[in-house]
Amino acid sequence: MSYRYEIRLSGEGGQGLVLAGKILAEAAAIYDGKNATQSQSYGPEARGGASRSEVIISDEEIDYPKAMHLDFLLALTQEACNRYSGDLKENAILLVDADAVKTLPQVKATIYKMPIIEIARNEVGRVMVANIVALGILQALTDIVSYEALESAVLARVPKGTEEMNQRALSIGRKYGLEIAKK
Amino acid sequence: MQKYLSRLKNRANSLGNQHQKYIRTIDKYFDSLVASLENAGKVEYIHFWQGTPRLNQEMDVVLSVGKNLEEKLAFLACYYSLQMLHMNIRSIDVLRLQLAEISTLEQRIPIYKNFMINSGKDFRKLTASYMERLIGLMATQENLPEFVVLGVGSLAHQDDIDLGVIDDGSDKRKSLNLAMHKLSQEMFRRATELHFYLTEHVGVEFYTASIEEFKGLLDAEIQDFIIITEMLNAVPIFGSKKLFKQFLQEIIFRYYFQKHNDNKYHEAYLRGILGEIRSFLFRNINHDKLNPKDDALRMLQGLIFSGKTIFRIHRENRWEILEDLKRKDHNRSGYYVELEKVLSFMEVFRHVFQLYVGLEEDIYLDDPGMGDNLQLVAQTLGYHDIGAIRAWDHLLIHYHEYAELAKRITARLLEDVKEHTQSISSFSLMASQAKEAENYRSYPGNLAIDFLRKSHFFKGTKYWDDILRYLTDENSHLLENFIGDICSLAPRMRELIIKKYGQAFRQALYPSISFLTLLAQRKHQLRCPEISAAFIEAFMEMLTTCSDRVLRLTKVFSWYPKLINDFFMILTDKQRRRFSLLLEQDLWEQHDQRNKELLVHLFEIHNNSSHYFKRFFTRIINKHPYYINYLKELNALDHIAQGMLGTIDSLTTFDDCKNQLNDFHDLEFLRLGLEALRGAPIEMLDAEFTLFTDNYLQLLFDIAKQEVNRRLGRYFSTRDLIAIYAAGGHGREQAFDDDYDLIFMLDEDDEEIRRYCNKIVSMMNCEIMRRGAMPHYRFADHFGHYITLVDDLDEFFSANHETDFIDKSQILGARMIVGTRKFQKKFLDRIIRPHIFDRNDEYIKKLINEMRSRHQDKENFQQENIVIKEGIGGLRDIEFLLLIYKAKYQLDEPLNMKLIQQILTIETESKTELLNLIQYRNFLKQVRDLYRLTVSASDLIKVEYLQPVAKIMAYFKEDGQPDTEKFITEIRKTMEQVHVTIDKLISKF
Repeated sequence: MSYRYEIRLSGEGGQGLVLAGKILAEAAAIYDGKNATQSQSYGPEARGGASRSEVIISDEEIDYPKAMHLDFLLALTQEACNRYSGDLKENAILLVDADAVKTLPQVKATIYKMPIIEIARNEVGRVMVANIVALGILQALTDIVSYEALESAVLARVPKGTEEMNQRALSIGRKYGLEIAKK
Repeated sequence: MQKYLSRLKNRANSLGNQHQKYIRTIDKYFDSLVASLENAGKVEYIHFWQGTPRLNQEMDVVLSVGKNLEEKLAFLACYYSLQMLHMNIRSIDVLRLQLAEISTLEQRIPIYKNFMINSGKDFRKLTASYMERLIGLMATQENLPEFVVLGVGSLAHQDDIDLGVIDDGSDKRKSLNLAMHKLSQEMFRRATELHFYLTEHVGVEFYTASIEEFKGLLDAEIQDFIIITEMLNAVPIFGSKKLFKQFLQEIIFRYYFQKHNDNKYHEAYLRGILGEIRSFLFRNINHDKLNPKDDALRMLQGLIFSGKTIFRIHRENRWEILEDLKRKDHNRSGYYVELEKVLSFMEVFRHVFQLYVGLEEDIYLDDPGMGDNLQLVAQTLGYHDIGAIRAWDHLLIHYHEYAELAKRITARLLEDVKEHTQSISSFSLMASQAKEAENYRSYPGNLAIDFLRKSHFFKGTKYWDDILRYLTDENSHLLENFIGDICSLAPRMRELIIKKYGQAFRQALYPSISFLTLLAQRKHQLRCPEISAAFIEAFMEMLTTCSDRVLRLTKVFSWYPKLINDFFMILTDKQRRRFSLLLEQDLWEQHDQRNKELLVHLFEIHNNSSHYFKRFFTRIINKHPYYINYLKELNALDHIAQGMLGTIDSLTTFDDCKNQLNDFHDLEFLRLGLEALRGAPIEMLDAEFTLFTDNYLQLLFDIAKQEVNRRLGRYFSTRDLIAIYAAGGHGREQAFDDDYDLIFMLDEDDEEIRRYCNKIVSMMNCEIMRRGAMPHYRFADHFGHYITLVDDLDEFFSANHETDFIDKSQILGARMIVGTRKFQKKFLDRIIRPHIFDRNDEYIKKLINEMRSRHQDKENFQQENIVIKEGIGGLRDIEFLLLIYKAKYQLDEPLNMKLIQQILTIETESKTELLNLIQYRNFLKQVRDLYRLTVSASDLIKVEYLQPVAKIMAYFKEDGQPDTEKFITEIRKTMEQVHVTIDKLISKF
């Protein structure tokens, strides 16, 4: 049966969500051989400080490249959670940063709270890789792309010299993702 | 062939990780491509191992050997990838070669410029050829409408390609959109990602839009100016030139300045771009992170494109536009030359960094391996190690210099763009018509409604300074007329209009806050002053629904700290309480979070400080808004203050000296006030406060004396003749009094010298009063002038007035701050010893009687409020006790800790009581100081306002709330203990 999986990564400018979206889409399209599109906040929205990146992954042609009914929402800020949780489908997944998002929305989705930014800070030693940690969790929770594809896409995108750090971030994220998926 | 392929891949591996995508495509399809070409006998047509001069022809050959669509796409992607790698490797090789024999940055800049122009052209040529062939594969010509693909981004940037596709609006556009969709997918998978921002929001189709759809979108509103900038940057890549020409004429040209015509589109674009440029201009450069786009390029691009529309330049490449600007706007050509240098430097740095390291815009200096990465970039850009200084150190120095230069040029050119905007603004006529009372009578409409209506077209733009200027102009009646028109509306309509303004505030926080502040400051000159509160209410309402309010407020604060400070000043307590809830959000970027914490800190200062403290605070912050950055770093404020003090004597004019001295005074007051609010120990505060006020008064005396000498044209020797004593709280070395009790003594009856001294005191007075601290001259009323002669004082005390013990207490508690030891000895011998020490029994008796008579009345213990100074067991009692001991043992020290130490060594039997008394005094003094700083500069403590003081002094309940009840009980108990202790001690006399 064919599928269309809509993902939105949301938070604040500087959190690397556009990069995370590109990595995820490239993992699906280039390394897993699926169809994928990626789009991002642009114009005044991006200038205002909010950041949003959307990825659609499908095994068929993607006719409309904008996300409308989300299967997965990552929210790294309370504002992003408030703004976008209404776009979630029933039975979708909402992953929030446990420290940044205090008030959870009333949605018929599975909600996972993880201290993503803290994990990046304490376990990888760098808060800037929270985006990659989040990708690791997303991969474990959804399996929408393979871990190998995601890792290859990460390595093909991150600045030279930071490969090992980003690999570690991805792996730690996946570990946490698998743990919460079991519960 | 494999040897060449390995060599190419090796070279590509030294480039950024994004090149792996191309290597992967080559690995996947190279062998079959070569085999197919060999089979077709066409392999020698293709440049595999170097960049090709015949892109289109070779791509056609590659396509011709693919058996089916999938193979054609794969072969084309493989060929594109090969050419992409060649292009990037070659461009770096050429750059290195060109820079090999050049040593200075000045000489390198033109090479950077040419490199960027050529890199852009090469990339555009390669991608255009590729896309044109892809679209040919995705659709047949007959199925497609007339269309043109426009490139709208910067030419050389390889992360993504920004495109716009204009179609003719015919039914065939569906096929075009399908083809563009497939093209986009293919490019994303195997080449470079495409973005269609210019056209994706315009019409019903996702990838393309027609001219009619553009008109439908842009006729009624400016929309977002970023679309306009993209349009202004548009270059046809392939497709119908005719359609592009039509698009130029019907859409793009409307944003160009047109003399004698309606310029509302041009104005709206400029309002948008001015807001954008300014937001980057005021952005602080992050020291841990480089971002050439945010640090310089966005500002420069904004200026270049505003120049393009103002001077009607029909070029797209930024360097070419600059060439035209140098010619057409000749007076500013010097700025354009500088701007070009920064543009070339920043662009080449960004481009080479991205080629070598990665496509990210943010460059974190502490990323692993970043030093090596930047070293490679620096060496490619012609930098070398010099001794211990590495090439990338030099590069970073130049980066920061150019980022600063970008800001300087932008700040200068921005003024000209603003002036131009004001000159063509459609609001100018409206404003000038309404600003004069007489003209206004003939104004046909309602200003408030008309402005709202007119500004609808400009929705989303942030630059409204010109309108603010009109409103602020004190000679204009625009604000009065504007508010008057709102007041004239029926209540419901008025409410609606204010609500609408509240919604409009969302777009532009800086002008909105400026307007609200102006309105509140001038509300009493307006027809209905209550309108100010209604506007603030509408603003708050808007903020509650504005999700990025904290970031935006933080940015306005970091650019305009004084404005935010002024805004906080106008808020009522209720509005402040509401506002505090709006700031509860953390920010991601470290420097934003730091600024946000400062903003919150500033807000808390306003929320928890008295007018007494705010008076000093506001004065220094208004004059030096930048000091707000140090509100949490009090050591830094201390260093600045010491720097001010240390350089006063190097200033040459009286005005400069006194201004700096006054700033020193206010800054030190601010610093110590903030220390006190943090709960600093009272002994430290008293000592440092006394030190700075002594320094202030001593230096003020010196500079006033020099100025009087200068004005009189002669010098008076006053050594051993003049002394200034501090009496009252300052004499007792206590912080935070709101006045200075001074005694200006002169030991000389020469009338000319007295007049001379009087001039000095008058001058000092003037400055002290401007600090908001009232100077009192203890004996001025009695003797009729500021100066008190030693002889007069001697005579005064010799008369033995019944109540002179009060004056004697002032003299006994006074501390010399200007004067010589010789004068002090004389003062002691002529005044203190004969009139107080030699008759100490009589003086002590009078003081004790005075205390007892006050203690008869115990009413204030039952009083709701606390009289902390003059009440029973208050600070005055402790002061009297110290005076009694001082007189009894004839001690020289003023009423400070040293005196107490001396008393302790003498009064060994009362040591416990005295030590307790010190504790009580410190506690009560801290209550008094904090009450003055947080509530009011009054010695009558109103218990209902004690909560902030209880909080600072750490009186908390178990639930973490301030325990005011317990605190009040503690104060009353302490005063009772002071009372009991003093009673016990004076009973021994």
